[in-house]
Amino acid sequence: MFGPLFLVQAEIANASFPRSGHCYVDLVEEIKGKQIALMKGVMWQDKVVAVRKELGTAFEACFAKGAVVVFRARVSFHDIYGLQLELVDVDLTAMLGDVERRRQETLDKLSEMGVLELNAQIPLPRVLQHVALICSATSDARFDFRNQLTANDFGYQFSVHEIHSSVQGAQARSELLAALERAEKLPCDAIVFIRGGGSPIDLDCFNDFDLCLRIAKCKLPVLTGIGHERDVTIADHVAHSNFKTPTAVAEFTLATAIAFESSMGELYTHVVSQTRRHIQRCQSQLILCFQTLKQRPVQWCQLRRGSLSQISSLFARRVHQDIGGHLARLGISHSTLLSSSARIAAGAQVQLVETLQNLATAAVRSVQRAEERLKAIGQTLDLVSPEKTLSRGFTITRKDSKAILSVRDVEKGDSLETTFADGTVFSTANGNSDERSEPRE
Amino acid sequence: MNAPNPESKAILTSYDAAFSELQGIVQDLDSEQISIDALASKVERASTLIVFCREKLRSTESEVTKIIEQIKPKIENND
Repeated sequence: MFGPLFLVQAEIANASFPRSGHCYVDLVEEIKGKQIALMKGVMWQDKVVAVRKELGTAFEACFAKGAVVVFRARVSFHDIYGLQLELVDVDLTAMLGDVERRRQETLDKLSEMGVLELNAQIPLPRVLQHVALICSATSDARFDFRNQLTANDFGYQFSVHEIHSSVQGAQARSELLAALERAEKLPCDAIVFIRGGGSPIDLDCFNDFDLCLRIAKCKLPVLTGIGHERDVTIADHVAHSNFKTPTAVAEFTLATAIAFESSMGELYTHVVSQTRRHIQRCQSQLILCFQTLKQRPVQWCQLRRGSLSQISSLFARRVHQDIGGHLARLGISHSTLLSSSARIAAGAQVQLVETLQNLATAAVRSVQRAEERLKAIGQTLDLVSPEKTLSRGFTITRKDSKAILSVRDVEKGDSLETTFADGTVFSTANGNSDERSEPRE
Repeated sequence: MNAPNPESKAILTSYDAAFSELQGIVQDLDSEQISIDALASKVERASTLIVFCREKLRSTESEVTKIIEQIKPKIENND
């Protein structure tokens, strides 16, 4: 009755859930946008219930339009409805594997394009006070996020601009893209994607290539808090920063404000202490200058005075030495002088005495000589004195009281006076021996 | 060596200028580059500079303290 089960992978072109509880799907396979197979499928109500239970929240995603699902199915032929696939089960593992494969492909592609780090390089504002929040309108994540920020203990005010979008299923991709476009135009510090936990299939919309590329190229920093701890979608990779949960994103946002304020506090303390230190430093410098001013000039004057007195005592010593030297030399000269002069005097004395003696002797001799000469002259005089001559028999004949020396001077008849030693004879000349004498005219 | 300052009462407006002049004089004192003739006037100038600097520092300090006191409550209120 039951045919063999096949694993069929197909894309859901359409899925409907009428009140009967059954599920009717149109399954297609496309290659490069071209449909190459089309088949109807049905999942009976009991299976639908079971699969719902198994997939949980992923159910929506699995049966969303465009979802690629791996079913376990039987081929059946219905009298009325014809050939169709009877869907028994969803092969989650295969699906997950598929999700994973596509995820890896997208990741590789984005990596090759070099865009993985683009958003991370945008500098995050110091404080995230204005955020654009992209989330589902109804999720708990949204409430958690908002509460964290509005009910914070520090009194910080945050402005959160919500943009709603489905976060799973077929619509998610385009809605998220549109939300991102809108958010980018807002004057906010960052864009935040959050969604609560779910299966990898639920979160798969965040692996979408176009969405992730858009996030990578976003001009604002993007923060993601998608699912739970172990969930890492590609959106998480390309975003500026990703966080384990939506709450973690909110905590981070709050932390930026806390850090800023405490850094302000630190800065204030720093400014105060630096200012104080600067002033103190200047004061110390001034005190040092003052010390120098106090000590140096005085030291210096003392030094100068010291060297002055040194010089002056040196000078005095030298002068004394010089004078002493001079005095000594003078002393020597003096004594030399004394002894020399004494000697000289003595010598002179001796000389004088000698000279005196010589003088005396010479004088005496001179006198003697003179006396002798005088004597001689006297004697001579005596010899030639008229008296003596007269006494010798000579006479002096005078004419007119004038002595006659030559016969020529006498003429006949002249009165003559002839002096004898004992008197005078008066005579008259009778003639002379020289008769030839001419008469005087 | 510093050229002798013709006016020992030259206008003092800037702490930095005054202080660097003061340091110059101190340096000269340390290196014994001042003649005896200039010594007295240099010391006088240095005293003037020190007094000016001290005053400037005191007034700055009190100003700063005042400002800090003003913003202190604003900072500490939010703790």
